[in-house]
Amino acid sequence: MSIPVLTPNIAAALAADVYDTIEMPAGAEFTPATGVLKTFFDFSRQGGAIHGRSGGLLFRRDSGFAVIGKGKSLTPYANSIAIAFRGTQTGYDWLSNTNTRTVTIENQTQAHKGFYELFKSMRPAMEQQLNPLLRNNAHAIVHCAGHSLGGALAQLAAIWIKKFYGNKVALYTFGAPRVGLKNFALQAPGSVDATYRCIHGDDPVPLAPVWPYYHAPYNGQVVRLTADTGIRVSSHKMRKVPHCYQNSARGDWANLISRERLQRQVFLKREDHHKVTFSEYWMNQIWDALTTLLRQSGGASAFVFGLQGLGAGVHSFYDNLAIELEKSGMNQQHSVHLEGLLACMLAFAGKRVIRAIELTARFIRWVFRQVLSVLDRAVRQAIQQVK
Amino acid sequence: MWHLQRSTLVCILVGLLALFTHNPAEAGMFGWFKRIDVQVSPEIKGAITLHDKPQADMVIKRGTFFEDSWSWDSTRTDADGHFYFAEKTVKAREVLHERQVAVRLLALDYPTKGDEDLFFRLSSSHNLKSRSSDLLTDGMHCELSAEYTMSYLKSLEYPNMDWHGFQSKCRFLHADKVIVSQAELDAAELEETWRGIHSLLAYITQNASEMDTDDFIRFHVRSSAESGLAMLHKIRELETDIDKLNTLPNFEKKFQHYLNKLNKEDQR
Repeated sequence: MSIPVLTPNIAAALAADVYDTIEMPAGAEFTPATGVLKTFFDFSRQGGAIHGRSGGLLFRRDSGFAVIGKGKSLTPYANSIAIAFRGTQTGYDWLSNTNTRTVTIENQTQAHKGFYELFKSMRPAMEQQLNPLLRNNAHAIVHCAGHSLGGALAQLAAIWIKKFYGNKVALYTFGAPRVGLKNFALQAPGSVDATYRCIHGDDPVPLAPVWPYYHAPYNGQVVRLTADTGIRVSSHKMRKVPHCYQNSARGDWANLISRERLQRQVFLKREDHHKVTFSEYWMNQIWDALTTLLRQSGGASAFVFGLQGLGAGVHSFYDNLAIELEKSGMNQQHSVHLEGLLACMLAFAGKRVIRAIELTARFIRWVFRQVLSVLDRAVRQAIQQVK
Repeated sequence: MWHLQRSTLVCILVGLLALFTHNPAEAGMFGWFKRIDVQVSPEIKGAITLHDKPQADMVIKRGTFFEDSWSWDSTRTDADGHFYFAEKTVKAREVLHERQVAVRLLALDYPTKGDEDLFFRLSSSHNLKSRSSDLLTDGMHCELSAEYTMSYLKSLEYPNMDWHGFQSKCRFLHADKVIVSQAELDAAELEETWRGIHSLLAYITQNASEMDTDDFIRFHVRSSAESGLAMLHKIRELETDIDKLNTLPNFEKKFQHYLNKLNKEDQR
């Protein structure tokens, strides 16, 4: 059974137009700026702009974050509800690998604590608007869309709506980061009825936060809107520039979807470091090599695959992983693979590959930190600062 | 001595720069130093009327939204109801996330003393600066008693980009160049309606086999068929292409077929 879904251009318009809510007071009437969205959805009767509370401990502020619309009668979306979430404009700590603690969410899986807390701040207002639309309306289909952080929020909203109201839910994300750990990604197909995870091949934001975060659904489909490769920080924009997501989301889903790359068994050799570039391809190679190594390394493997959550964030996870890798007491063959991996990681981080690579916890931790640091910087630049 | 120290310092700085920019991931960090002019309001030349009478000495307030907050300035209309705001820009670092920029115009003390009447709003991401917005506000005649409605701005720089909506009570001197006409809007709506017809029919045919057993599917097949028939009526009003019009009975027949089937089963 399939559910009627939004076309790519309508889903993109939803994720783009919601950015206008930032200048609106809570409850103010929202009018979409894209004609096609106005043709099919009415946002005037649901209670207006929904505010969210974003920022760190010292700086927290309310601003418009989401809107809810109802499909107009006698259109293809007559029995649809559309919910859109905008990305962030300030406070980018949510993407930093130093700020990636997890929390247990509605479907008993682990998701990013910062994303979830922001989503929770909007939930009461969302509930108020959704109750009259979804209570006693089991046939209504809910479409959740968002760009960047908005995509992460849309994913959490989709899971909550499915659990709380029981309606069928379709999810559309554009350049969204990873939201949860492996159990989150594994449960996603049961939590959402259709997922369109749209990316540009060279947008770095979908690469964050790093493993052990996963995209959901696990090994699912991805809508690669441009075939570009590498990492180009300018490929993250949603609207108003030629290469933005709103311009690339055209045509039909059937022609756009490809299968997400599967994790492979990879062994890296020290001499491979000459080929390494700062690219999505090499990032995937490195993480595949790391997980390949972990599967074969006793204690470290148990540490990773028994992971219940990231109470202290990704950095702390990698620090502990370094200790476990040292403790594992690997055989000579594993040591060669670990040395090859560390050499390639150094090259990926733009560091000189030193002749004598030590396999001590201290050194491994230092290499991990170099890689996390360079990825942090690329992602922050994409969202925040640089042309 | 000082020359030597200075040249050494320059060498070190150049070396550091080369070192940082060598790594593509680092190269971008120098965008930190780049500051560009972000236009938060184009130059605005306007006139205000109420029931076609120019409004003299009226205070017009301009709000510009940037970096999450509004800032305001104001002017007064002259004896003919004309008002003017100079272009407003701010220096800022270039960003790649969606940074909202918007401008609003309000007439003060209308409809009654102490009130503010919003008669123009334009927003964008990143920067308002464009040939279209500059032309749009180069001559605007705003009638306060008119309805506040949505119009769509074309992008002169990137004609393939989606039209961007703005709201106003105004007519525009360069409307023919920058504002999407009703005929263009109708054509776009017609195209979307055709897409809608195809997607509804695709959904029905994909799921028809489960119609008898699944209540959810029954509901949506019925809803799709009803919407499809209603949308065909709309197409009949807007479509001018004879070949396309000739295909309508075929679509109608298909939607009606599924609707009849569902009705029969319901009666049973």
